[in-house]
Amino acid sequence: MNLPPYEIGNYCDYEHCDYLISVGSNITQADYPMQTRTRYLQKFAKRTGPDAKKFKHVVVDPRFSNAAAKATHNGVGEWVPLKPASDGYFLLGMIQWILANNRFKKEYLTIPNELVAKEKGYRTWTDMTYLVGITEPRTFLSGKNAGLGQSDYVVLVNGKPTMFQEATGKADLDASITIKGVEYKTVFRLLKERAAEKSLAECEAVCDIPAGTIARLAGEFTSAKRPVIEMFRGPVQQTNGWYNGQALCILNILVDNIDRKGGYISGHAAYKGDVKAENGRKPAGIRVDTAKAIYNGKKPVSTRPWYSAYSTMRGVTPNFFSNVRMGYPYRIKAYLNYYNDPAYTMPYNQETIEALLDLKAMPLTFSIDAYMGETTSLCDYVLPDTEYLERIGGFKTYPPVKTQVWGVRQPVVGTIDPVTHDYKPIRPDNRTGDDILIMLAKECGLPTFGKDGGGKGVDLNNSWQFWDEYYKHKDFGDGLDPEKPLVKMGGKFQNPSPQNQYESWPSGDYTIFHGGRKVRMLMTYQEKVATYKNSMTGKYMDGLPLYRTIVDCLEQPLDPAIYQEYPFQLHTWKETFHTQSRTMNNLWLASIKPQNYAEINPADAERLNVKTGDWVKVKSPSSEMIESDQYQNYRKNISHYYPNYLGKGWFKFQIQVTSRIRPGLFSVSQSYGRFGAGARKWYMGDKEQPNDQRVAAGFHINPLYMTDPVLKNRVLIDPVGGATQSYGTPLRVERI
Amino acid sequence: MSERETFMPDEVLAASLAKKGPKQYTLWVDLEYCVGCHACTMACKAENNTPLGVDYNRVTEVEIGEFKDPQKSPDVRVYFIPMPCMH
Repeated sequence: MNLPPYEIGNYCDYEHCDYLISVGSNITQADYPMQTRTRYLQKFAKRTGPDAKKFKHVVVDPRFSNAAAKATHNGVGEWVPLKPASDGYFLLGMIQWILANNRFKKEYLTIPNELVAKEKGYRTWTDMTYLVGITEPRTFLSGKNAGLGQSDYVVLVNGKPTMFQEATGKADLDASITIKGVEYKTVFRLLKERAAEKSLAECEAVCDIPAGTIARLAGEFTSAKRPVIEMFRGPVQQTNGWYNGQALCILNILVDNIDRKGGYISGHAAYKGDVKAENGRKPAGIRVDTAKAIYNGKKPVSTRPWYSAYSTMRGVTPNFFSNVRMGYPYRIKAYLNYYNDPAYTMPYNQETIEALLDLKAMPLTFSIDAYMGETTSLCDYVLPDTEYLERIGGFKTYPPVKTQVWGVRQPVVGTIDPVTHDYKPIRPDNRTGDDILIMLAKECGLPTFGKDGGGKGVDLNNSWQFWDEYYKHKDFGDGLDPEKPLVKMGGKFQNPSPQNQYESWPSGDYTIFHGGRKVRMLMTYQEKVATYKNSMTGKYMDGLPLYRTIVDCLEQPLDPAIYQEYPFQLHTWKETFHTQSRTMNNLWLASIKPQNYAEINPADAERLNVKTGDWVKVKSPSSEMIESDQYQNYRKNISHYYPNYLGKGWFKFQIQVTSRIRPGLFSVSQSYGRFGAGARKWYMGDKEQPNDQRVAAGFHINPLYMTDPVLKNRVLIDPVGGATQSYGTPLRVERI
Repeated sequence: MSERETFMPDEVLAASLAKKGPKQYTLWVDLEYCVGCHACTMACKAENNTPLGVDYNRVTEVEIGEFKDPQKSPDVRVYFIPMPCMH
């Protein structure tokens, strides 16, 4: 699908949408940017939008999030408390119902190419009519293989194979053909067969929702005028995450709302600048986290996973730390941590902490940090950064903003030297993050920094010079001149008038979608994924979504017997007023909710015979590993990190009973239970540094994540998309 | 005045001000817009510079209903109620 990586997701054009399903999207409470989306939803969609009176919001989430509270506020919306990790069943179940009941946009899906799309008044078209071979690797049938000529795809027109670009009208949607003894099916038929693999009753049993819910929601979804199903990281941060994201995008394609006014939109185009860097170096070689790398070893299958299909810029961080400890695929010499606090934020963070404490695994470590955070306190060298907002730079925006935007970020506490343009902080040894990186680059003798770094006559000695140069190219021209509009306005903003947001086509209005390809093909079948092998099994991956819940690195489901002994499921969420690891040391914010609790449903509370304020002990199938030699350095200091550790893998938690959590869940919000950033006493030399116990309040769930049953030293990770299984791993809870 | 109108129409305001006798003011908070983000608490702290633990404006969350059986449609409501001190 030519949508951005599923990890970030697209959003709904709230104002003109009349039926919205949010799956695992903590809207009004999290996301980029929470305030913008909230206003779009509460004001534009529910009050002032053209369909405000019939707008219905369905929140699919194991927790009754603030969005669910607002959706049900006026009695119109609905909360669907899905069991964690069952999203694939819910989404594919909806696809199944839509296909079986012919509720998809048939004319749209039969369009084979751009020409026909334009003729019929559509701006996009899909790959639904393209033929895919059913023998592995399952690639699209090319014109060459069909003996027709030069073409990437072949479609059937009234049963006759035709190169997709030569079709002049609609192509066959639900069809197959055998060419040279190989059977080829259209993407639509493959999807239909895949969706029919389970019955709706099975789906609802796995999701643990009332019978008939999926059919009812799919019916409402397809009868609405402008329906959208949107996501954020909820469905994606799972071992089936890639396929969950794909299934959700396919649902939007089936109702033809991609890029539409009131549809599922990419939006968020930023103005871009540039710093020309001749002779610039690019990263090369294989990454330690094995993301984007293809296994090419001597053995037929690898002993650790390789994330060949991984597509986003970031890495597979939990895999990085476990690989570093094992020296796989090679040993690292130095580690620079920036803008990240993995010792606190990584699921199963004992592996991260042990790696940082292990001199063989990580012999030399640096951290750029504004506080003595958890990771920074375990590093050899600390380079004090300013706050992330206190720097020169810029920021784009995110959907649902449909016009082009760029905000310029400038320091407000420190000052800029008028001659050298160096940042002058209020504390003598602080530098902005960019300044530190440029200083390091210059010290290492990297090209494109220092004198003439940005071309002849353009020095890049500090962040001001870098960003001044950046703001002189492409969409900008002013540089950081304080008299010019860019700095005076604090950014560059397109007029958000309707003619800058929408354009009309015969089949309806589309968003203008600045900066991207407007006329485009939407891919439902992921050929690229289907040609990659899981390096540990040697089997090809699937190009279409799968009915799966939690799987390990060999793509085997978890042993169901594990839930007999560990009947609870782990669950986390984010408070509205906190970031994950940057805000708890702000005591104002900490005072809003001084501590978090482990939240459980009243039904579970009755079973455990506990009430709000009582204490329970919790263990996961892998938390007893803390006692093994694998974590010997971590274990020595565990009372420093987790004073609630009771031994033998058990952790102590205080309970809050609430109906906002579905039964069977053990839910702990993030941001609490800190052991860095001033939560514990710490010293520089002999001098005690600022610290406050209030920063340490509450509980942290990350050591209780279950490890991969095959690899045993790392959290469960999606073999395709590289996302961690953030919810739903089993836990055992007992009353103390 | 209907619930869907965000602002009070001028004639309603004028009629209200034209009434004789002492004026009694009320603060109308549209709860549908409150999503429980607690930004008003922080804004009030910033404006009034209150010490830690003293907030003139807090937001309470009220949970109504009980949800125990996933095989039945949940009937839970949560309301966010800003509690300004009216100063």
